[in-house]
Amino acid sequence: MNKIIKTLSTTKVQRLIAFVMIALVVVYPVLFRESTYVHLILCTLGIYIIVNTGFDILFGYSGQISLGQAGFYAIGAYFSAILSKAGLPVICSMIIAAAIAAVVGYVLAIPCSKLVHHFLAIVTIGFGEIVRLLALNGPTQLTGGANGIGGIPVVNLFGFELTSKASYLYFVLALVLLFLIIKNRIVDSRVGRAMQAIKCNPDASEAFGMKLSCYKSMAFTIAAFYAGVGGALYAHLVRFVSPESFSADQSSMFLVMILVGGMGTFYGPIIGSLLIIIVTEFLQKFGTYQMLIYGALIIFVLFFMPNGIAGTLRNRYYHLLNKLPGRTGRKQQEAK
Amino acid sequence: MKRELGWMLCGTMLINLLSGCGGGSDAAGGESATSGTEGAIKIGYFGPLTGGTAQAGQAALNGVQIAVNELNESGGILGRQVEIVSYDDKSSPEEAVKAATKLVQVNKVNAIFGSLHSANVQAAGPVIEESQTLCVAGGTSPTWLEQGYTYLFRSISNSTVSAKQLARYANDQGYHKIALFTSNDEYGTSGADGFKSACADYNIEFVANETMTNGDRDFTGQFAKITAAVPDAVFIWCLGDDLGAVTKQMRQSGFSGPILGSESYTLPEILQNAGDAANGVCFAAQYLVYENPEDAEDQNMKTFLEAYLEEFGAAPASDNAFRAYDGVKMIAEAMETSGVDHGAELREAYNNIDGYVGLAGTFSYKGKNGEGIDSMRIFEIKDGKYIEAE
Amino acid sequence: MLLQLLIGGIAVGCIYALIGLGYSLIYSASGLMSFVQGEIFMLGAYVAFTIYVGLGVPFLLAVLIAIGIMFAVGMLLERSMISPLLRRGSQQIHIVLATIGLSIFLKNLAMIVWGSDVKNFPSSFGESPIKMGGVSISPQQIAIMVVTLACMVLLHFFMSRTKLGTSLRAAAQDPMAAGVVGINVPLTVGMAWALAAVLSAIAGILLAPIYGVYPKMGAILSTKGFAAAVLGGYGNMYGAIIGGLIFGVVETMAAGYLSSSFKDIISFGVLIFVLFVMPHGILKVKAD
Repeated sequence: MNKIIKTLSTTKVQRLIAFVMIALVVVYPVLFRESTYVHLILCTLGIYIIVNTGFDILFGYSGQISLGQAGFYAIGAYFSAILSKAGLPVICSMIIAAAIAAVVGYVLAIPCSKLVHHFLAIVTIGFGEIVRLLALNGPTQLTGGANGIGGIPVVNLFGFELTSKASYLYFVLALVLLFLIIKNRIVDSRVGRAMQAIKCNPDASEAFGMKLSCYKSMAFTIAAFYAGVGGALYAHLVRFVSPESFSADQSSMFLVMILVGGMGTFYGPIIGSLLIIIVTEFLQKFGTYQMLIYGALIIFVLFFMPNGIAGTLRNRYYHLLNKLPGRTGRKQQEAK
Repeated sequence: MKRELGWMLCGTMLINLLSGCGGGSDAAGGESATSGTEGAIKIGYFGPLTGGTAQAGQAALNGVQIAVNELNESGGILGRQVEIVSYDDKSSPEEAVKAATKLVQVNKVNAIFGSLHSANVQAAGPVIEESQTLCVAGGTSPTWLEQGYTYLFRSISNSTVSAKQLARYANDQGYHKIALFTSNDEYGTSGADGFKSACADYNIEFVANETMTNGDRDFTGQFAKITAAVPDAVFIWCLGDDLGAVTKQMRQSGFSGPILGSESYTLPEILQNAGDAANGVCFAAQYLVYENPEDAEDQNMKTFLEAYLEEFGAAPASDNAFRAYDGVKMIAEAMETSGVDHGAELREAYNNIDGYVGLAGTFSYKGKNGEGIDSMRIFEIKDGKYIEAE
Repeated sequence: MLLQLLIGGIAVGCIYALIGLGYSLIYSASGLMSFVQGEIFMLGAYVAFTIYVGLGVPFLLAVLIAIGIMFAVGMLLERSMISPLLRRGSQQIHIVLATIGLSIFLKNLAMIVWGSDVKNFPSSFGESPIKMGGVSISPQQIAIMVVTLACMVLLHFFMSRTKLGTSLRAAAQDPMAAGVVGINVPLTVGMAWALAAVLSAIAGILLAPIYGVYPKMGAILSTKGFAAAVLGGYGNMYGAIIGGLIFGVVETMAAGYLSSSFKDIISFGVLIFVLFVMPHGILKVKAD
């Protein structure tokens, strides 16, 4: 245990904090084994963090808007549901489903890499709608049409069935960490820097010999893979999928999450997902008025934080954030 | 890199913890509430309170409210007062699962009414089954009772029943060429499938099979195809908010023959929106949504409507109010007969309900796998009024 | 049947074009994307409904009042939400977020104020269809086409002949230079938003007798209006009209000759294909 923490942090305080955190996270679901509801919310939170983290690579770092993330999410959910019901081990079906989503993302990127702004927006809206309608009207024996697919098996990990939400939470948490690390690696790699360069100035980047379409479609593929993983996790969490869950509203919810949180930042997608989920759950008590308040809140937040929470905080407290380790901070240190 | 990792870990864990604590205290509050108010029986409700079908969801919640008021006035269930815990499922299966989990796990309700969307019921099924909570729902698609869930019941007949009645009616009237026009969702598909299989016994041919998306209003293409096929009758199965426009445009496209419709035609707003176009529509339903309690011939219905008017100042906007009322009343009945307020015994008692007379008619659940009623009346719209057909 | 479908398609296309024009106007004047047009469309229908049916004002007067109100709403939207946000340093994409928030807000506001049931908006052009040799056209469809045409002609003359119109175009091309020569740039930008709101509201009022008035009515149309604007070449007025008509006709034809279940798949498929071949839409934007 000590070794893990040692590798995780360098200063003593950090080590202590990390130790307490790990202990709490590990102990927490065991202590509150009964609060399935909280675990369920945390599982969905984890799923959204994964999807939004991928989306951020596409949108925040490579600057391509997508209003069709629910399409990839649906592909992940449906393929994982179908394959696992056909008898494939759940882990395999999840990986295959995410891979299929990634392939679709790559194919979609072929027309998309030439498009910008609203052109891209409408193509992705169209893509999301097409996926949803195919699930609805396509091969009904496979997708169950409007009735959806029920009785999806639970995740089976080395012989352990993750039936309880608490155990599933560990699984989701592990994947969240994994995908956050992957994102961090991608963003700091040559590929990630190329994406950001293209976002800032496509013409100059091309002049430096970068292949725009290559990096753009790479971003699409990665985002699709993340969304596919999220969708697969969703399918095995709720154990029921139907086209209603993958409407355009879901896509714009992803967009809202990432914009509220702040795009192009590490914490943005996490903050956004967390905030939107907490707010929607909290607003439940307002019954009919909850969505009204929700809409007003989005505008309200923007008036105080015009560039999303993480974005605005980064601009406003730039000097403070520099002291924290992280992308922005480290670059500054290197500069020094 | 290592430091980053450390911070990343910290960040996610902090978030995990923060939300965990928030929810955790919530759960604790719920538990103490149950133990504190020993005596109060909690009826959970989840259904759409925002979004396109909010009106139906609100009507259902109002129906629950009326039933609970009635029960409380007559001394509650098992001598204990009844209270409602309601959540919005936003017509989304995911939200439905959250709401159902919260009901059974945080609020620890005794029984649930919800949801109105069959997909939402199906999504919430495993949660309800696991918690052994009796759940009565109002969705009409047969599918969610075919999944093997034992704690789910339906307080209205499923769409196959009305489809069967309509098929028989069509055959009696001598319609042999029928065009299908259904909405492109779970409601429309289940209605169409039910009707198609019910028609297999009769000499009925389907000359067109068209669909629409809920909310769409441009049916030129579909109706051109349908009128070109010259059907004897058109079978329309859409949600209430589309029906007015669909019926009107159907007539405007030049079709003047009979229309066989879904039970959503009971909604008063359709008569208003479709106007004369609604004449000649036949549909099977358990009840009509009366604007005025005096119109109701059934005494139960009259009492219910009067109570509803008094409480909410307007007639129910959707027949879901009746489904909810019946559902809650039968839950109360099951609790009274079994003497327990939760779990397997309550389920057994509910399953044993036989001959309960509700707004929809006589319910008998025994041996029917959650279905309680399978009789329907056929109504016809003539001169803007509902007339019971032969 | 072909003629029938064509007419139906054009009528729907006209509505897409009207909404699409709104998107294009907003883009060309302020370079922004707005997701609230569908709700403006719905609001226009509700305002007209309340004045016409609720208060019993004669139809034409009611429509004029409703248009006036929507003009003010559009102006207010720009003045009180969009430009303060821009001044606070919002990026364009966050304006999009604000419009998404506003659209959720307005949809639910309408639901609370007017209820979620479908309100009947009586047609003032009569209900019985006109039959012309196997083709039946409803008077409302004719009204849609005539009014759309009139709107387009008016807009064309407004843009090219009036002082306000030319200053609007000037402000769109180069706000700073326009300001230097004495054009009130904030006013013209607000004007563009107001005009976009008016166009959407007109579409809403035109469609209300066919659609009925309900909170969700803008949801599908806003996407398709947006598709029309993009297909034609975003920011180009004539492009939006062409895009709208193409989208409407393709959709209706797909439903009529192919399968109605696959109608939207086909029309969006065509859209993606067109944008694949012509990444800037059918008519390229003149001034970027």
